[in-house]
Amino acid sequence: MVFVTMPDGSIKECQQKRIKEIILELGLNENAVLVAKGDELLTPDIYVANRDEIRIISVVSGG
Amino acid sequence: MKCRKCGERALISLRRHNAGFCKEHFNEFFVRQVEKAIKKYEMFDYSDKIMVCISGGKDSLVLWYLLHKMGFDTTGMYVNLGIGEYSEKSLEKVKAFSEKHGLKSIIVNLTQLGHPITLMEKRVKRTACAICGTTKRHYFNKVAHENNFDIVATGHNLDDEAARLLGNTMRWYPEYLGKMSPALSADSQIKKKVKPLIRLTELEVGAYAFMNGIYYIADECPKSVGATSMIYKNALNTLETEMPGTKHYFYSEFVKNVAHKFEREETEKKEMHICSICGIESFLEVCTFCKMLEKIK
Repeated sequence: MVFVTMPDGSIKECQQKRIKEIILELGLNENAVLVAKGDELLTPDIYVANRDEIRIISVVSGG
Repeated sequence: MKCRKCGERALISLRRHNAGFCKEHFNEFFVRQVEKAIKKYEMFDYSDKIMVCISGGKDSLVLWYLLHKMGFDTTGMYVNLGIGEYSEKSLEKVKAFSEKHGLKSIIVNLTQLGHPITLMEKRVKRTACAICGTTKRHYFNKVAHENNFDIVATGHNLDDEAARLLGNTMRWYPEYLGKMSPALSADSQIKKKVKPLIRLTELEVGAYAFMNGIYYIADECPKSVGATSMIYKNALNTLETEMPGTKHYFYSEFVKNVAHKFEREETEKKEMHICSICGIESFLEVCTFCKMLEKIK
């Protein structure tokens, strides 16, 4: 399993797969979020390993 | 994915440029986009005194950081809106950032001035976002005029402006379409307004902030919940996913081929006045901001 911290702080679990597929599974848009592991950003083609912890950063601001 | 320049592992993928970049070459790309915008739209040069409008969010802090790093004479101007915890947090970010980088700043505190947004929205029959926009514009103009700045720079990015263009086009607002250029020329009191991040998307600005340790307020303003700009941004991001480059094409071609028609229409219709209360230039004899203030007395 991969542990995903969402922008609101909640944690979701996903199967191991590419970042692009995780973004889709979470119902997000690839142009609206960054994905980080520790202090590095991950590109959509990266395959995350079992027990990896990644973080979704929303970049869209409104108002 | 490999960096297009050096072949190292890429940290960001930019589909609209069909490229990936490592940190070093993404930073190079980012600076080049800002330089191109400044040059193409003749925004300013090294002799200008620039006021950067700061909110504590990623776009304004990245802009301030970068213009300072590029050697421009910048001062941050922050309006504390008096929106509870959100305003306190954003003020902390701005203070920490300016101290860390040794930057000059001017802070206007609406609560101390007696008209925080939370009070104004109770007395004025407009949305909080409309009240906030008018109030911030008033203080941007006033502070820039009183402190003899040459330029007012804001952190609007490509997503902000493409979404605004979509909204103004959907409703055919000619008076707003006339103000969509990334560099709006000065009037006698109103300083030239520029948007140097116009060639960069929100994703790119967010990535630059992350890679360069720029800590911004990630919380959304509680008053902007349900803002229509988010609907337009989501729609454009859906198009961008299917057709990379759409946002840039939509906005830049409008500016290149169409915007001037609305600008002409705008200048033909409106005559400028000096507001009889605050003394700042306005399209009205008493500016909208002063009219709002009269309602809370």
